[in-house]
Amino acid sequence: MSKHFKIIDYAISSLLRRKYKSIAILVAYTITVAMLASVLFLTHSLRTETTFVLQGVPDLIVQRMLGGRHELIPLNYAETIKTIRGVAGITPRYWGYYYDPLTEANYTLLGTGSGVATLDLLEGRLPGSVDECAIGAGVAALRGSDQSKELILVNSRNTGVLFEVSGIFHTASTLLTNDLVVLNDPAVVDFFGFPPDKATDFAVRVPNSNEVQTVAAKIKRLFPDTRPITKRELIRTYDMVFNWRSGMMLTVFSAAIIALCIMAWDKATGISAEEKQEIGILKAIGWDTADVLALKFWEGLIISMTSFLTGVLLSYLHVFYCNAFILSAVIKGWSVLFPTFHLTPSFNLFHLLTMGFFTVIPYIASTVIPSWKTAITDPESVMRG
Amino acid sequence: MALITVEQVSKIYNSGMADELTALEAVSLSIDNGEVAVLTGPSGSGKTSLLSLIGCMARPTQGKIFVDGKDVVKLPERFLTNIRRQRFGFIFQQFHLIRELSVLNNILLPLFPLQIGPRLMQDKAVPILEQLKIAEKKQLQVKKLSGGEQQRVAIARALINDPQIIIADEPTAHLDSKLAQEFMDILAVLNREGKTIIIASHDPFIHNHRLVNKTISMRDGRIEGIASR
Amino acid sequence: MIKGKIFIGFIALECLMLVSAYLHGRTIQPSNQASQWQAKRAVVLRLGLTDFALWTEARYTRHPSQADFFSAFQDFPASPDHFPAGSIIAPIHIPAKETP
Repeated sequence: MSKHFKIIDYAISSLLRRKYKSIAILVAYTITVAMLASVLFLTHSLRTETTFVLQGVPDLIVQRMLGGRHELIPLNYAETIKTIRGVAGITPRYWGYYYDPLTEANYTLLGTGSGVATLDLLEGRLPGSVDECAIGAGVAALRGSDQSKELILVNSRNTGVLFEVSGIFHTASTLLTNDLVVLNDPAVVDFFGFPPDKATDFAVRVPNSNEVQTVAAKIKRLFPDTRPITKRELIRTYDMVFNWRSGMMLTVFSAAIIALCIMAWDKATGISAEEKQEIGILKAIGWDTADVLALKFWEGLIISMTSFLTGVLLSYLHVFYCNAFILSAVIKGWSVLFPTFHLTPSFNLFHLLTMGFFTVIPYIASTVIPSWKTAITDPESVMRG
Repeated sequence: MALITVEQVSKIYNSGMADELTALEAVSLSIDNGEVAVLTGPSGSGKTSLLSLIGCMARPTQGKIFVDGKDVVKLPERFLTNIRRQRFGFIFQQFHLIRELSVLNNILLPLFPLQIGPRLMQDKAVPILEQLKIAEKKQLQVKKLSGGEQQRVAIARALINDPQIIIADEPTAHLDSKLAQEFMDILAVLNREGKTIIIASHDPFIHNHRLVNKTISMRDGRIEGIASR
Repeated sequence: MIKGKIFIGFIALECLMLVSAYLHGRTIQPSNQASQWQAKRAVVLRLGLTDFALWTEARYTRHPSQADFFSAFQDFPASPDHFPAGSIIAPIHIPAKETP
């Protein structure tokens, strides 16, 4: 124990002797690890949260397709779908998009279905009548509706419609509600001028998740012009988007990893004459081959362990306390109305261990192995100046 | 019985290749305990090669070397390290100190891989530092010392393991005559303490020093003559 | 010896911070699931939402899961656009109205 303490001490002194080189390696190494870890942390955190939240989406969405495009769906389809075994309920959904030239932003207008209700994340209540609305925090801030308690939108007949704001969603829910203008169903129908016998799509409730696929297939058979979208597909969409984006980032950063490997390789294989002489001196004054290798091991471990841990901690701070300001643009993208994220600090231990394994071990190996050859040769070379 | 016996030793570098070099050829000699032996000869005569063979830093191509009656030629690497550590103290021509380390750490360096606590290490170093009059500079970096002081650090490092045999390669090459005199005075003290000293040098000052009691002259990898006095 | 101790101490400190960060994440998650996440899921459930309000500019980015089979930047029908609002950085100027 005391022996390794002394060797660590000496290893640190050796690293300090090559101060600028060591610091350069340390910094490059730390940044690489920090970036990789940030991508992993951010994606993991986003996915954990989104997967959980999206468990609440409808079991099955049924759209009508016309000429390959989304069309309004006739309400009488619902009667037939309701009779399929396994379907517990079907609700028509009314929603559409609204471009607000005033603020250059798109809003999503959404019918609530029926019934007045309150929600934990809603300040106020959902609209109870056709002239009321509940809006997302983004819309409220953009239009100043949080002050005026009013929202004027121009409908499909080019008439301005005034809605009274009955509720504003909490900022904590902006990820879901930022651009929403929630009206009741008749208000949406009237606003967009939907034909009275049509809805945007259907939300179908299928309590047994094993039956969703079968129900979807039956609907498709009964109504060949529909497109059923299952809950699994909905959730997978976001998994794919985030995976794909983080994959892009990792691909970009893989260049950094390769650069780091090359640097480590170069540093290690090109063991300098000075280092060779030092190994010779140590051997001549009574260090064993094993002691020299232990020294090189500690040198590698000190650099890689310090960089790895520092990098991981930096990325933790970056992602969870600075909201991933460097990476968020790439992973999340951009929008006029952009929700704020509150990422829950959590990470996957397995990811971390894998990353540790793939960064620390190769570096140590590339420090120890090239010294091996020098360490096992006779120290007589030092006698020759 | 002789402390060191060298029997018919040859050393060939890069054997079988175009740049093959015979550094030593059929060299035999013996050195007794407590002797001060000097290897002389022009550069390239094989002095340094012979020193490294005696000091267990390399193995001969042929022949046998006995240290304290034990044949060291066939010993595995880690036993050689042990012998080097316990029996020999080396003073190199270029000192070979770690220039950025402190004097104390340079001296303690041979002890680092041993199971010795820091307190004991200090206890070993203090008398040596005092004996060589570098105690007050022990925290300084070696590169800030003068040539004579650096050599004393090198000597101190050679002494830290209390070796039986001190091997010095051209120790006075970088010293003026005053410092060379000082160096020989230090060796005289060590010799009086019972240490065997082997020096390779072509400095006449050393050859003619009263301390020396065996002179081994070498040329072209062979021994020309051995004179005892 | 002092440098070695500083190093070991530093590494131990970093490990400790990492472990506490991990445990913090583990403990904060269930409590968040109980309150915030649960509340968000309630919003999804009540409003029948299908998508996040992440990229609101176009219909295939606002509701990627609901997008038509044939929409811009969709490589093929089974593959929603991976880079909704793909510009990463907002355009410098969005022309709002045609200037006369």
